Amino acid sequence: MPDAPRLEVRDLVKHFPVRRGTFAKAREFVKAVNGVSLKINDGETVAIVGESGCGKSTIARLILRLERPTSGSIHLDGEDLLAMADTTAARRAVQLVSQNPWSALNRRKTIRHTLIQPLKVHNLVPTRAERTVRAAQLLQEVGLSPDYLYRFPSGISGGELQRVTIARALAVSPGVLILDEPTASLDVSVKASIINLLIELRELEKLTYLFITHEIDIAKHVSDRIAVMYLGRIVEQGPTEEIFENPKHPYTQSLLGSVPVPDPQLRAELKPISGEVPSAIDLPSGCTFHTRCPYVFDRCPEETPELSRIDSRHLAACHLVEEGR
Amino acid sequence: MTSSSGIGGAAGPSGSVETVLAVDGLSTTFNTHDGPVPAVRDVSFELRKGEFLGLVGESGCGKSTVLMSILRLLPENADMNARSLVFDDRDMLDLSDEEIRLLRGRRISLIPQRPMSSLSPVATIERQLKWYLQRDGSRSPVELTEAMESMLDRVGLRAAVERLSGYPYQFSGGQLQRMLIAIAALVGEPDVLMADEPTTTLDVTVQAQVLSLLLEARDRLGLSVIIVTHDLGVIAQTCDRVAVMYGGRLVEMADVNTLFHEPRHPYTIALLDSLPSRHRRGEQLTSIKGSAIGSNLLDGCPFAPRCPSVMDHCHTDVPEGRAIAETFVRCHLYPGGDHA
Repeated sequence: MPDAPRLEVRDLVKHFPVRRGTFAKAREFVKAVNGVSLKINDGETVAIVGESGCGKSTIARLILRLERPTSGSIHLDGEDLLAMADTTAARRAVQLVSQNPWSALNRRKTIRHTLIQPLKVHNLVPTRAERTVRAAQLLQEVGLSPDYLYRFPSGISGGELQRVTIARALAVSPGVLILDEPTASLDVSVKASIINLLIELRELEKLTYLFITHEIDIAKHVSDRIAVMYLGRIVEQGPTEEIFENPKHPYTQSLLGSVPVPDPQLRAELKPISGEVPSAIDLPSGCTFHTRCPYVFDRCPEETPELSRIDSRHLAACHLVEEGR
Repeated sequence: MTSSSGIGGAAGPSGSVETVLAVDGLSTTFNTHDGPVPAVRDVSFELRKGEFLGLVGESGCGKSTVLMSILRLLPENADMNARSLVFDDRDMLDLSDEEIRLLRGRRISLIPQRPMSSLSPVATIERQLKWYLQRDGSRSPVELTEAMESMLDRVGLRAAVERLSGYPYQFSGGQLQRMLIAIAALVGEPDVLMADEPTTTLDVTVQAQVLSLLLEARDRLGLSVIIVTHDLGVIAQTCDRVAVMYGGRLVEMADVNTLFHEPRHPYTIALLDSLPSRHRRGEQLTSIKGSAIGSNLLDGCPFAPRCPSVMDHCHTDVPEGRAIAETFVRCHLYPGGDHA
C-alpha cells in the first residue's frame, strides 16, 4: 500500500450564506465549492487554475482552516485535519503565501518583527538573539540582505515584499506551501524572479506546492499537475503537459484558447466563448458549463457529469468524454 | 466575430501611411510634497491611420500618463509640455480647454482601465447612455431608444437591452467594459480610440471577448487605436506596432514582429526573455535584477541600474534616440543618434 498523499481533500463543499440584513435568515447561498476531491503527493506541485469566482481561493482558505467546510474532509499525511484536537502542528506544516504582499505585512512593524512572530508562536527559537539570527538567515534564503531586518514595508518594492512573505512562510519549516496568486500583483520583470525563487526553494527545502493562479502560462511553467475549476468544481485534472496538449473538457479548451500567446507569429484568430460565468448563487442545472458550451446536448442540463478517466492520470467531467465521443 | 486579428491591415510599414496623431517631445511632471516627479520624459511617436499601437511598460513607467496628457485629463498638480501634439492638422497645444473638451469623446475617445469605477454607481445604465447619446439634444425619444438598443447590440450586449433600468453593480466587469467601449467608439465618430489597460481587471475568457470587439471596431469603423497594457501576450495578439516605455521614457518602438523577434533595447530583450513561454517547463526563468521604482528620477538612461550591458556614461547621459532599420531605440549600445 503506497503512503498517504501529503495533502488530500475529499468531497469538499463550501456554501456561504447570503444574509439580507443583520438578523435575516439566510435564504440563499453562494455555492463557492461544490464537491472537490484532490490529492497532492509529497514533493509535487499541483496548480489550480480558473477564473475569478471559481472557488480556487476558497479551497486555499478551507485547507488553512480559515473557513470551515460545509461538508467534506481534509487530510494531511493521512490524518483528518478537521477532527484534530490540536491543530498547531498541522498549521505549522501548511503555510500560505498570498497575492498582495502590501496587505499581508504590518506596515507599522519592521521586517524583523514580521519574521520572528511565527518563531515565537510555535516556540521554535528560545532567545531573542537567536531569533534575530534566524530572521537574517531567512532573508538570505529568499535573496535579501540582512539590512532589511530593520526596515519597514513602505519603501520596499513589491517583489522584495513578496520575498519577505515567502520568508515568513518558511520560518516554521513547513512541508506544504499554499501559493494563492503569488505573482498576480507583481510587474512583469519581477514575476520571473519570484517564480525562480519558488522553483529554487522547492528543490532546496523539498516543498510541496498547491499553486493557485489565473495566470495560465505560470501554472504551465511551475506545476506537475493541473486542476481546472469552473463554478466550484474541478472539471478536468491531469499532468500539466497532457492538459495543455490534449485538453478534453470544452471549458479547459476555451480557457487555454483565450490566453494570448506572446508571439506575433503565432497570432490566432480570437475565438472567445460566448457569455459570462453564471452566478454561484443560482447554479445552472446538470453540467454547470452547459449554458456556454459549444457542444451542449440534451444530457447536459439534466445530469451532472462526474470526473471520468481518460487514462490513469487524466480525468474530465464531461458527458462527451464519458460517452467516448 | 469576424476575422479581425490579421496584421498588416490598414496600417503597415509599406504603402502610403497617413498619420492621425503626432506626439513630439511630450513631458509631464507631477508636483508633489516631495518635489517634482517626472512621469513622462520627452516622448515622441506617431499614430498611423487604422493601426493598433501598443504602449507597453511596467506600472509607473508613464504609459497611462501619456494618454491623459494628450487628452488634457491631468490633475491640477501636473505640468505638461511638448513641442507639438498634432491631431487633424491642428496642434492640440494651441487649443483652448473648451476646444479639447469638444474633441474628447467625439474625435478622440478613452476606454478606462476599471470599468467598475468608470460609470456612475447611482444612475441607471439607461440614464447614463442617454447622457452621451443625447449630448446634442437632437434625438427624439423613439430615436434615442433605437440608438441605445443598436449600440448595445453592436457590442454584443443584446441581453442588457432588457435590463436598461439596472445599475452598474448589477452587471459584470466584462459587460460594463463593453458598455464603455460602446460609449467610446460608437457615440461619436472618433478617429482615435485610447484604451488604458482595457482588460487588466477582466478574466482571460472575457479579455478575449473584449479584445476581439476592439479589433472588430477598428476594422469596421476604421479607428486608430492606442492600447496601453503590461501584457505582452495582448500586444503580440493585437498590435501592429509597439512602443516600449521605461522610467518615463520611450526606449524602443518597432513593428510587432520586429520587436518580438529582433528586440534592440536591453530592457525589451530582458522583458521578452523573462516570459515563461520562452523557457522549458520548470527551468529557471531569465529575471531582471532590482525593480523599476525610482527609474523615472534618474538622470541618465532609466534602465542603467538594472541593465546587463551597462556602461559608465549610461548613468549620466540620456541616450539619443536612433533609427535602426524600422526600429527606434534609445540606448548607448547604438551610438550616433540622428533623432533627437
